[in-house]
Amino acid sequence: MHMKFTQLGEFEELVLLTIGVLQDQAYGVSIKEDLERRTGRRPSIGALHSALSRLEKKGFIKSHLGGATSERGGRRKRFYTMTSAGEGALIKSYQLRTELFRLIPNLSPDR
Amino acid sequence: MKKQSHHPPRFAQQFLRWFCQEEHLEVLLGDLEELFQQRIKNQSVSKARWAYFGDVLSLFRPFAIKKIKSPNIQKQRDMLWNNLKIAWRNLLKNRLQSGINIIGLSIGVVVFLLLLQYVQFEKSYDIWHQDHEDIYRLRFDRIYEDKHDKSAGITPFVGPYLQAEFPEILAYTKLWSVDNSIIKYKDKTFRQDGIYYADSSFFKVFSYPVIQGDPSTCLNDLNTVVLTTSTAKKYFGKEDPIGKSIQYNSNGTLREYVVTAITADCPDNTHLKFEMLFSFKTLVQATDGRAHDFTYGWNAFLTYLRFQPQTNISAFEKKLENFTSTHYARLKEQNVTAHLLLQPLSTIHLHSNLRFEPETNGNYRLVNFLYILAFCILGVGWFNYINLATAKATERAKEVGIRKVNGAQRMDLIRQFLTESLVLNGISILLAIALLGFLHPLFNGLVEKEIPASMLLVSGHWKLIITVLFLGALLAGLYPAIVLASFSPVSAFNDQWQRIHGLSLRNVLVIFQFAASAILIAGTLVVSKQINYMRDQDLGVNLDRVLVLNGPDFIDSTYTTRFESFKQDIQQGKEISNITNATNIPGREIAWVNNGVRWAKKPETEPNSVPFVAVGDHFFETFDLDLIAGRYFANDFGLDSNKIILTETTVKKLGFANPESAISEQIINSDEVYEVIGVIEDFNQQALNFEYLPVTFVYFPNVSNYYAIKLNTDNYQSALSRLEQQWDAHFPGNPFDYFFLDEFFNRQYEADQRFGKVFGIFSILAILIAVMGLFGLSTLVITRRTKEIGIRKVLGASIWNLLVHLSKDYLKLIVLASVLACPLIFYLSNLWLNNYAFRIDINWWMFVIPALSITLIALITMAFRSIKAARANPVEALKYE
Repeated sequence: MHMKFTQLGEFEELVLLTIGVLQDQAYGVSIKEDLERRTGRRPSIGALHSALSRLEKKGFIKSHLGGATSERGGRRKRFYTMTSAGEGALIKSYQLRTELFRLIPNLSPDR
Repeated sequence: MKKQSHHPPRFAQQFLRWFCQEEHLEVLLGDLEELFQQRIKNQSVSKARWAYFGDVLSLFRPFAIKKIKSPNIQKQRDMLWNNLKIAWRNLLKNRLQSGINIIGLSIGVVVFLLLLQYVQFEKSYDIWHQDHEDIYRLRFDRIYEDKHDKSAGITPFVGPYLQAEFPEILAYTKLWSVDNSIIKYKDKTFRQDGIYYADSSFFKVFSYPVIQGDPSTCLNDLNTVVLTTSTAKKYFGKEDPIGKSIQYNSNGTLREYVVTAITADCPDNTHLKFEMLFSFKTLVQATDGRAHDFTYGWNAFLTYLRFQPQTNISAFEKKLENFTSTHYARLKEQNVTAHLLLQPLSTIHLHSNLRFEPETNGNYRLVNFLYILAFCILGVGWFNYINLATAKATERAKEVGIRKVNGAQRMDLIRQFLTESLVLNGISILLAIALLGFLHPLFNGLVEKEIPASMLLVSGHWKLIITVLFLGALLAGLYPAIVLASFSPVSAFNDQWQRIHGLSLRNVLVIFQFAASAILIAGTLVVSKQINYMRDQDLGVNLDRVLVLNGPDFIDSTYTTRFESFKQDIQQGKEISNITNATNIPGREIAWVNNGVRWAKKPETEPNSVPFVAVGDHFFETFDLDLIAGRYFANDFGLDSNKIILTETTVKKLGFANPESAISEQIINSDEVYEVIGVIEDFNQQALNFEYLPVTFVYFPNVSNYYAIKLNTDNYQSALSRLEQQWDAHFPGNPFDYFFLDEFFNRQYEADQRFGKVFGIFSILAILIAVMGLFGLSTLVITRRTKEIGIRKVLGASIWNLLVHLSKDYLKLIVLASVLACPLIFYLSNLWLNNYAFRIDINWWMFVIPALSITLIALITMAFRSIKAARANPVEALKYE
């Protein structure tokens, strides 16, 4: 069965991966911090949430509210978790890149 | 540790609250606050505050911004979809009604578009020349005592002189038309029309596209010619014509012309259509320079001027006045006022109508009339729609009532009905456009013009059309919509609410439509009767079985003997009763007009313009022109070389008391003296639009323009073949061109016949629209009266009684329509018939026949429904609730 594969943008992919890493601790600020730490990229909160919105619309992640803290002025967080579609998208992306990578002669990850 | 609680900048927060969607607000504010607090810890308060601003700004993105119309737009979209669904279902529910409505509207729109197209085409003549506003033609007016002569033909020297004198003139070009010439290339000989001698500056003034060759030099040299593409194909086939020569016989001299350029075929929308252009220099040489600087007389040259942009034309016309008084002084002496005027190029086709026009002009009055007619027909179509829609109103009263009870606002209902109207109009318009594509070539055939299919698009008119159609649909739908929406829910359920809403308006529309139909029927009858009258009228000259040959062009010293022997040989045949020759034949405008003609006994200050025809032997016998005084020409030029024969009209014009008294009198034509030897009865030289002309005949036995041959048999096949044989024997190298004079003469009525055809078609269309309107209305009325019909039948009414009863009301309207139409019929018929010198009189049948016709049509239309209703089973009718 063929499902129409929605494109995964580069930044979106990073966000999705981060969500996977953070398991059930992934929410706006934590994702932002993780990305900054790991990749050195510093997305604005707007760009990040925009990507999260897109990912949710594409069905790669789902969200639920929870975790209000006083630091947040009593406001809740929105936690994101990956869906199976999201997992599929990541796997596909990984497979594609690896395959292409292997086809390039004289290019090895161990260089 | 005392914690100073810092707050994020209020302003930024407000901003976020303002633009952000409800569903994201809490989470985003939370994230922002968390970040803010972290930054206070890790950096500084001020940095945190700045960063907060930045964060808020970064959130100003599509995903977060409030959708202002969010709830409403969805509602509206749903409502619209609902409206459309209901509109569509309603259309399908009453297929017949809707169908009638749609077809009626489509016809209206199609006719509108076709007429608009035609009007645009007629108005587009010559505007495609570059900077056409700067191109003018010279017009020469001469006012005599008895007439005002307007001509496009001018003395040759005017053009060059004006250009030399006045810097406002960028370029000029002269044109001299050549009639009926024989052109030859190798073995291909054709009689060629549409030939002009044109100046080398021709393409500077005009923008006819030149496909091969150089427009600025192609007419510079002697003996050169420019051809149009199809003319070139005719002679050269697939060969390249450039550089090759064609032969042309001009006044006995055989010349060769070298082809220097090829232009595209002239489009239909230009008043000047040509097939060949000879270089003017050649004409100048052939006439020893007179064609260039002849200063007096020979007013036969078309002259066009191209001015500097933004020249003051009225100032220039004043300069022309000076010019005229200087150079046309001689005319003043003869008591003739002369004016040189300027005609803008684009006005020529519709407004000009001078002598020497390159082709018959159009008529701006007709074009304007059609423009108005187009909108009227569209209006009628919409009135029809409103009529039917409001009539149907009561049927939907219950629907409106229920909707209102369920909370529909008036606005909603109006929107509903407006949607229905727009859907219906939309379908009609689409249908109309489809029909247009189909009818376009047929229409072109009808009016005999090649209107390009994209005419309406190209002329930029399509914006107007779309606006008109849309607005019309809107307005036409608005009235019924408002009417329907205003029904009160309570009274809608009241059975007694049977009135047909808007009774008087509807009746007025029916009357109007049928009156218009009556007028159109009358018009068609009048036109066709007039044309038949003209064709059947006794012309005073007998054209039956007269075969005309275009005379040979190659004239040399042997011509006279060859002509004589040709005549003799022809008359050996039993089919030929007579043969004659002349410079002109009935059916053709006489170009040879002398303006200085008078009775010797009348003073020199009263010259007359008289058309002259030079004829050979047996002219009057061949054409059966009866003598009322004096005698015909005798077969001896020596005896009759200076004799002249007049017609009755000439006699009156020149001032004689009666025909007999004119005999033996002297007639002076400028400086030539003639003696009158005979007077013949008046005859119609041209179509019966024209009065009898004062034709005057002189005797020249060897003229070669036309040979007229009278046959005494209808079996002309054998006569023709023999004639052709004899022709080729005596005049080799000349094409055998013949035509029958009666057909030729009747061709003058072509324009009128076409007019009649168009008129007839529009009558049918108008009647169709009126019929559809009436059909729809009567259907409604009868359906509503089903119960009444049932009861009447039960009480014993016969079918006939019922028919009468049902039709009574509308018949009254029809009678009123007929009566109203009468004065208009009278006025318009008179107006049109006055175009003709010989016309039929206004007759009783012009009023009665249209009236009877529309009555009959109305009866038949209503009969369909009436009969069905009258024959219906009253039980069924009375069951109907």
